[in-house]
Amino acid sequence: MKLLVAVKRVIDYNVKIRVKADKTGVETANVKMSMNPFDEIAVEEAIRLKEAGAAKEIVAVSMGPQGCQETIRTALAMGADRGIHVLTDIALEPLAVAKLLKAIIAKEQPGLVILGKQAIDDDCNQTGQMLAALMNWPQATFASKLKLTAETAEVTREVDGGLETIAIKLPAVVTTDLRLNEPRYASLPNIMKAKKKTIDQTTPEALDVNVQPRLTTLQVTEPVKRQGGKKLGSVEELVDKLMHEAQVI
Amino acid sequence: MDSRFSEEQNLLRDTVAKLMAKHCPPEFMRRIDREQSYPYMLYDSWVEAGLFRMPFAEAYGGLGGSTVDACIIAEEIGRVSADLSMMYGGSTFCGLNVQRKGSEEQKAYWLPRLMSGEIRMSISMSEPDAGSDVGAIRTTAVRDGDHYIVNGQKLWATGAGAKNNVINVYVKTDPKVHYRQGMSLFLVDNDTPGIELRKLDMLGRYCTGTYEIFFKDVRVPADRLIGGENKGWECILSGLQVERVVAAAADVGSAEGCVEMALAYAKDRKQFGRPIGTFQAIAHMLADMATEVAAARALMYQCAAMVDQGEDALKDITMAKLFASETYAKVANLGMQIFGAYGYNKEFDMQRHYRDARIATVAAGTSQVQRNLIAGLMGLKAQ
Ligand SMILES: Cc1cc2nc3c(=O)[nH]c(=O)nc-3n(C[C@H](O)[C@H](O)[C@H](O)COP(=O)(O)OP(=O)(O)OC[C@H]3O[C@@H](n4cnc5c(N)ncnc54)[C@H](O)[C@@H]3O)c2cc1C
Repeated sequence: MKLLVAVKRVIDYNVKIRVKADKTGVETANVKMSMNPFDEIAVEEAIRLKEAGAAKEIVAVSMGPQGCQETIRTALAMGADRGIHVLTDIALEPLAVAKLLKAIIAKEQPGLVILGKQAIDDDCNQTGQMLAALMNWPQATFASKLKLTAETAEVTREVDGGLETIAIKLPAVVTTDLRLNEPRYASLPNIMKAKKKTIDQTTPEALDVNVQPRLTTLQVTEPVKRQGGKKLGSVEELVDKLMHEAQVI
Repeated sequence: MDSRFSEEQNLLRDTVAKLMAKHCPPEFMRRIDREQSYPYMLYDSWVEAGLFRMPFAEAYGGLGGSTVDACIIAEEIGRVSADLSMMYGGSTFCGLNVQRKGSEEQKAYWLPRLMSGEIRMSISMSEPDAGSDVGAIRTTAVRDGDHYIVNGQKLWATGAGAKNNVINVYVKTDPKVHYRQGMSLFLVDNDTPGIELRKLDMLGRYCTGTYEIFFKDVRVPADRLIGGENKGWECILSGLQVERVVAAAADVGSAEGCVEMALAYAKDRKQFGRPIGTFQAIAHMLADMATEVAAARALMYQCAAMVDQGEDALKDITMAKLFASETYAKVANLGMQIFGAYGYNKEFDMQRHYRDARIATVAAGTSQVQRNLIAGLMGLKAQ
């Protein structure tokens, strides 16, 4: 079986995000970029499936500017077999990504698509679900355990109040949650091998997908700074403040 | 991202940094430094990740990495600890010597063992009366059938006492001729009968350890002679460029570690109601530290690239080693100033850098000797 894994290039989770002075977005110049952590989990799961003999080939896909090649290279160094890069400088929304993935699926015919449940930059949590809808495939989101047979996947999902285990028919879409696995880092032999693996480049135009944004960003601002707390002398003082200053009681 | 490096090299850096963060977090580093213990598990994790395979040829099971690759590894280890970078340097430098100067049988025997972590290696040249003046060594090896008998005393051997260490020892095989024609290199297991090791009480580099070695009638099989009898000096020379530039990379990494630590502290520590880093005196200190480290780093990677291109870079590399080690010593000293009393306290990490940095301008060739060499290569030969 072939596995398709989607990997997004995002600002590294250790970086302290700063809003651009003109409030059109966040600062990305000279900022460390990394693979979206949930996508790392997706790549790791794919590699484990391959190691267990449940899959034959892993194709890593990323979409965006030229720098995405580095993100794909990371996936290849972890153990993916080859990469596909959809080159575009347009900021992609989840629906555009899902449509691009659909076009790639038509060519690659994977048995399973694994994505992160969300990206840590826009936190949308939509792409996997949209892709399943566009493909009319079963979906299992927020996976914390994944077992494959030839025709089905058994997926344990993290849901409110517990775990839900479902069986879905393949081909299908799975999105990963934090507890699915702990991703490996690229070993040096794999880094050297990754040099020789191929990354095919294509474009939204070549895939015949319109990726123009449907949303307009009006303004990006920093979260309100937390005001320092204050120690009060007595319960009476607290009640007084709640009544007259905060006016909540 | 730095355009000097390829995608794979960025990944390599990332992997080594993650490896260090996972297997050698600050509290672990503090503990092994305090206990003065050799971190065998950390070494094993390097083996497992393939760090020791990187610089060796694919024909012997290596990964065929470049000098720049080795510098990236040394820089990232050095960032955490100059002491620990010696564990990497020791095995790697000695192994590369075997790869350059050993026979096919010797390479096939030693290199896979080194890369798999079965053995590690250390270098032993210095003696009580032979420091900068390497030619003054007096330890001898005398042929006896299919063995050599080694006698003498070695000093300051980094890492020689670690488990399964193979000492790469330089001895005189012909004491009558000029030392360049009379030295030889032998690989001797550190548990060979007749060897006595003593860990020395040094000011720093506690984990790798610095040792004194006594050889008393130590029988070494003749097939452990590398590069041929009386060819020791050629072995030393053949490795000089790579060793110096990788050592410089470790110093650069350690210096970067100091600056990062001092910068974070200067932003955090408040006096007179504001972070001390907002006082111009401290801010400029940090600006200078960062500038000098960046310059040392640029010179070092330029040299590494020259080595990879097969250029004769000896002068530049010697400058890189000189400048990197002096920069490390300097920023560690300034780092102590920025940390105030906290720097002088052993619960904080700056004093470890301070201790380890102090010897960077002595070990592997003193700054004075590096300057002599640079001046010599500029046509200013000492009389
Ligand atoms: C922590 C540590 C680890 C070490 N690890 C190893 C190791 O693994 N293997 C190994 O073989 N050795 C090792 N050494 C030894 C190291 O290489 C020597 O210390 C170094 O070469 C200097 O020799 P020395 O200490 O005897 O100083 P000396 O040579 O006695 O020098 C003393 C002073 O005189 C100066 N000086 C000497 N000659 C000249 C000259 N011609 N011109 C100008 N100034 C001069 C020096 O610069 C220095 O300032 C280690 C040393 C240390 C401290």
